[in-house]
Amino acid sequence: MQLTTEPLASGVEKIALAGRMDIAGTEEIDDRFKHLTTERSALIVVELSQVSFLASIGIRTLVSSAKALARNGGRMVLASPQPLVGAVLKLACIDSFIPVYADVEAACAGLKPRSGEN
Amino acid sequence: MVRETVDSLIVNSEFSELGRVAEWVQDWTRQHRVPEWTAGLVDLCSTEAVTNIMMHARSGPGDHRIFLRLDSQPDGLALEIQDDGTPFDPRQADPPKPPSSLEDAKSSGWGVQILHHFSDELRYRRVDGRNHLTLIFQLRPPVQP
Repeated sequence: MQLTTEPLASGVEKIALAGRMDIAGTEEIDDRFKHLTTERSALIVVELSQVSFLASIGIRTLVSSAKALARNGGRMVLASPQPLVGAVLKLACIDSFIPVYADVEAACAGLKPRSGEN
Repeated sequence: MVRETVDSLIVNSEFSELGRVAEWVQDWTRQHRVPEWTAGLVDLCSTEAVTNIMMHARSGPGDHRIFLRLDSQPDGLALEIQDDGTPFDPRQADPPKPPSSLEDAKSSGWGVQILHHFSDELRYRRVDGRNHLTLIFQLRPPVQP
């Protein structure tokens, strides 16, 4: 799998993933993904348009990172999953707690400070 | 012992073999002109089922092999997976409970649920010390998530 990062406006960081998120693919990006998402507070959009396959092992990576990020005061949202990847996210109820948006622009809007937040 | 044919594959029970499983499924579905959405479901379910066997089904010392076969059917296809690990009937597995919060969300245990949800029928038999799992897929266009 490939992982690239890009700073976006308003302090949001985009992490773009590409490839098959199975055991082999997840192992390739796991350390860097965890470092980017669990060791600090950040607003992160994970862009999934080039992820062709999401297995249950990939769900584990997304959920554990989103939990760690939330504990540090950050937030993660997901953007532009392919249809089958989106169906897997929905099956595992991930979309209830890690918002999924149709594109990066909508995801960034979704990360704007909530009412009452600085 | 079953033998490998163009419609079947035998892999060792090691994660490094998952790439061969995916390649074989993709080649077979392409050659049989399986619609893209259905081919994706077969790819996903074969990976989940074989991963589950590799993680949980080892029984005793020695090499363990996993046998896979794909068969065309009038309106779809059947994926059969055999292994000689501990008995496991996925039809009896409890589905994970829907989480009430992110902190409550389960990060594992979704593999069997994926098999149930993304196949049209799931059959299981234990025969001569081997698990026989068969997943049936109908050919159809994508279903909206």
